[in-house]
Amino acid sequence: MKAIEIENLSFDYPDGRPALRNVSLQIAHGEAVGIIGPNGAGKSTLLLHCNGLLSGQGIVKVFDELLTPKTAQQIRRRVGLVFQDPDDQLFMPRVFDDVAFGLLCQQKPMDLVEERVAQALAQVGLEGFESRLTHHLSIGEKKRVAIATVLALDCDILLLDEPTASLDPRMRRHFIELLKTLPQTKLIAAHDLEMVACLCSRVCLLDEGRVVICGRTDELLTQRELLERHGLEVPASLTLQMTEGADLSIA
Amino acid sequence: MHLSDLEPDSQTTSPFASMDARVKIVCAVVVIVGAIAVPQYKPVWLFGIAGLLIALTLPSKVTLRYIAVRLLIAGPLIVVIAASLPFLHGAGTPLFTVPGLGWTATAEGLRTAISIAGKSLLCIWIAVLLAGTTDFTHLLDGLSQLRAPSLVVILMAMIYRYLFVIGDETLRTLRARKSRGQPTSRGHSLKVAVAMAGSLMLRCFERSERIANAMVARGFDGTLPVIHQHHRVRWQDLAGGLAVCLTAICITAVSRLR
Ligand SMILES: Nc1ncnc2c1ncn2[C@@H]1O[C@H](COP(=O)(O)OP(=O)(O)OP(=O)(O)O)[C@@H](O)[C@H]1O
Ligand SMILES: [Mg+2]
Repeated sequence: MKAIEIENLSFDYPDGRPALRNVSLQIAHGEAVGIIGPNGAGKSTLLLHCNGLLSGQGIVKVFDELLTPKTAQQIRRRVGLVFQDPDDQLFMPRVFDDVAFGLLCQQKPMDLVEERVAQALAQVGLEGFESRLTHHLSIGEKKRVAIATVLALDCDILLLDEPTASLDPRMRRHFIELLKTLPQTKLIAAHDLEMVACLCSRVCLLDEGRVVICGRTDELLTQRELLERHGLEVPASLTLQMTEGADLSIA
Repeated sequence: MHLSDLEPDSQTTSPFASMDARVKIVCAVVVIVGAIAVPQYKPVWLFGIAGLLIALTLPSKVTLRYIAVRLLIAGPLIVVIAASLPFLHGAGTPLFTVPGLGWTATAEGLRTAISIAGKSLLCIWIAVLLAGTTDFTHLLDGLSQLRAPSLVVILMAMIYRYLFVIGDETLRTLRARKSRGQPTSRGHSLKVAVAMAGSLMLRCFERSERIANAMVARGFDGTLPVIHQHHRVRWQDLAGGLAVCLTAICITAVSRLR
């Protein structure tokens, strides 16, 4: 079964700026796919389409169900979205209320809510942050709470917009390991190609709203010329592997 | 005012900080109603309420500056309203007439004016005392436990959250402007200020759209989730609250009877 199917999706922002052009993409259940591309490529816009927050021309299906204004509410329960800017995502004064918000919207009983909140905060390394005030947190901590708000919901699909931006290296590593262990289907928009290389079996290169190419991560992320043409760079870890490989072949 | 003024130290250090927010909210409402119910023509009795507030303010660790700043903000409005009142009271002992306009102030009108100004200031003082000794999130908890409409509680929560976001954004914008040099002339600096205010407003507007998206993405469908946690009110809090309420009620009752 396909988790997400996008066919010929085009979208213009109300001010007339074209953001997506004929995007087609399929994501299998349990797969992790990276969306890469330069600034303004349309990555965030594409993620917003996957749970019906924006709707353009074309077809978006989630678990074989067509995404329409009618089905969106139901589908959103299975699709969790982490926004690029945590200040957009965290709208309550206290960490607990924010992480609990989605669960309370689903009218879950209080003891379950408390348990899930504690669990989600522990997953992002913020045990005991329940009563902290959001505006007293550092940007990285806010980002982690934002991720916890979605983990608490136990969705089938995770849409992550720049999940590792502004995390410190240790937290970033921890977070990559965490995402690796999560069984959910993942769609990750990121400039952090190292992370994409670690997590995703497939990547999709987007530029000016079009899909340039989709392919296996190890094949695509080593194409220096292609990446540089679209404002990206081969991640250092892969460069190393490549040169090692080259050395070996010479020897 | 600075952003940190929204959360003064007294919110955590005050001996009233640990008191149950529900008790404090009920007390505040009772004392406010008490102050308002003092008869218009006996403003002297407002000193009784003021006495009660002084007795509560002294040990509360809320600074005089914190209270004064807030009273001053509301001051001009109260003064304008109060200043017009002596002239609006039709019948009564005339005191003086404004030459040229023919407005006559009466003694009764003056008393009403003093009374209304006094009551307004007392009400603000009570609210400031409550806000100065209570962590805002406790206040929200208290309100929702007292079954205030969830729409009101969530709105207050979001306003509080984004006051800091917008405040930070403003500070960042100001810093960014400073780091790029000072405007050369008055006119230029005014232009910059107007443009900044405009861009800040647009940014707030766009952010509100993104916040709405974030809420919808997490399953918000127009009905607001409420948390009803039930804690017993501690008897010390209850006793303290009762004492404050009874004092206020006594002052008001006596003022109305005599
Ligand atoms: N609310 C909006 N109104 C109008 N145009 C927008 C809006 N949001 C984004 N755009 C435009 O749509 C295009 C795609 O934006 P999007 O945010 O999807 O890019 P992105 O790939 O996520 O970029 P980044 O890597 O910088 O996050 C950009 O050209 C951007 O200027
Ligand atoms: Mg983006």
